[in-house]
Amino acid sequence: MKILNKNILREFKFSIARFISISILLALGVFILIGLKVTGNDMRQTANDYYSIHNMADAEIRSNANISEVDQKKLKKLDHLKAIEFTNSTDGLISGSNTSIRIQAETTKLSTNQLISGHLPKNNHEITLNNRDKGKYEIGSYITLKNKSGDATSELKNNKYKVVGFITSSDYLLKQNLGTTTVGTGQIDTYGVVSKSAFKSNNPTVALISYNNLKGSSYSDSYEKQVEKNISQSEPTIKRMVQDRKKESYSLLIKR
Amino acid sequence: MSYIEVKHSSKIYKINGHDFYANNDINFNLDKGELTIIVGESGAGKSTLLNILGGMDSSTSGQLIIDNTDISDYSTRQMTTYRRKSVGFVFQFYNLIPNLTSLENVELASQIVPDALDPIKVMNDVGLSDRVDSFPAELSGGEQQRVSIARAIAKNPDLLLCDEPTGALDYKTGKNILKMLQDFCHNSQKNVIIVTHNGMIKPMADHVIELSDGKVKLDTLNVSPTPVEKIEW
Ligand SMILES: Nc1ncnc2c1ncn2[C@@H]1O[C@H](COP(=O)(O)OP(=O)(O)O)[C@@H](O)[C@H]1O
Ligand SMILES: [Mg+2]
Repeated sequence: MKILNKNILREFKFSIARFISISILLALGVFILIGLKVTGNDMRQTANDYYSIHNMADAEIRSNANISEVDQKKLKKLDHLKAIEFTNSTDGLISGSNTSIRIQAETTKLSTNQLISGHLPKNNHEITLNNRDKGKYEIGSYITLKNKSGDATSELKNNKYKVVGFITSSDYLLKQNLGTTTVGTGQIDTYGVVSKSAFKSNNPTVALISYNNLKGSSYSDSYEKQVEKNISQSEPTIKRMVQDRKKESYSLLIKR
Repeated sequence: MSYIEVKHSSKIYKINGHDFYANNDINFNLDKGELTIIVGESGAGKSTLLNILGGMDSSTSGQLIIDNTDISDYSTRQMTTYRRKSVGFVFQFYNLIPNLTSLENVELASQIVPDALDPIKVMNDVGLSDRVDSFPAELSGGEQQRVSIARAIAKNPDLLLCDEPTGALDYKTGKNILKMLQDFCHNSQKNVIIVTHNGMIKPMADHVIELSDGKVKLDTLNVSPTPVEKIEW
């Protein structure tokens, strides 16, 4: 079939521009189709893996006041709890710059941090920083924290910390817009983790929660619905706790 | 014994619910080596009949017996083999492959049959030995039709079918082509069937079949056919 092949070859040769256009068109079509079909799944899978590595909490309770031991006990009795961890967090500024930073106590069970380099803080003079700040701060260097009025932050025992490592966190996925704060520009620029003992108060302000009745990966419908259901189930209990706490505070005030 | 026997062959098209007979109970026999002319007005059913003879279409009813073999109930695959090995076809509008030179067009046909003729020699026979490397677009209509005849002949077919082979050509060129077909028929003793609407060329044939409204109107044998050069129209 020599001539037949010749014809096929010339068909390509005489319409090379058309051939290339159609090939590109096909490639583009396949690319987009596969892209649309696969990329979403890939991204969700990647995110899910990331969350798993960091043991990301399913829900979080934040309080302006400290969560008292009585309240901690009550929270531990919420339905469907797999694990609960209490921790502290405060916002400050890194002195010598306008960088606002959220300082968190190190967690061991939920929303843990992955160490990228260096080591985790071993005492209350050490801090590990957001891995994205690697270029700005070196391991072994020191940073000083202050509150918005330039004084020492009231929640922390110390204000000068040695940078001992860099970490990633499931709480902060974005490069920017890490969250809002009352210090600096109102946007959190970065975050750091200190040991639990670096906080003055033993009474935590944050409760991290994971549930035992969840199915499916993050972003799946079943997961999100169940989490929402659990949260709305817990809401009355938590609201009652808030009411009780308010009354208690008022009565304390009146007593004085 | 006839080489080709057409028996009660009909081709029926359904046109908005009605049966339309493109061929209506056609009967004729052709002997081996005959030059046959099928003549009739436009729409008489000539192309339909020729396509059935060439295995490119099948009749709705009736039999087509070629060399004692009934091919009317051939499978698709058998039909393909029949078309490939036994039939050469010349179309009104040449149907040459534009990507191939005239010689390559002929070679393409010769490469699909076992006992093909030498393409160069066939090109020589149709008088195109100096245009073998030309592409169809570089040839005149008459030259293209000669290439298409060369392509049909190169397969060395038992049956050469030509559907209005001179329809798109001028008088002189057309005459040339007809002469070529008559010569091929008489020299090779193969069957050549020419479809035309031009009744004036009937004298050149050994056998004339006149079609009208899908039916055979006249079936005449011509004992002493006239050489094409002597016919004027
Ligand atoms: N595929 C088809 N469907 C319907 N009618 C057809 C079809 N092919 C041909 N015909 C009709 O059959 C008749 C004969 O056609 P044809 O054999 O091409 O005529 P001609 O003798 O001019 O070659 C015409 O009237 C035509 O309209
Ligand atoms: Mg026709």
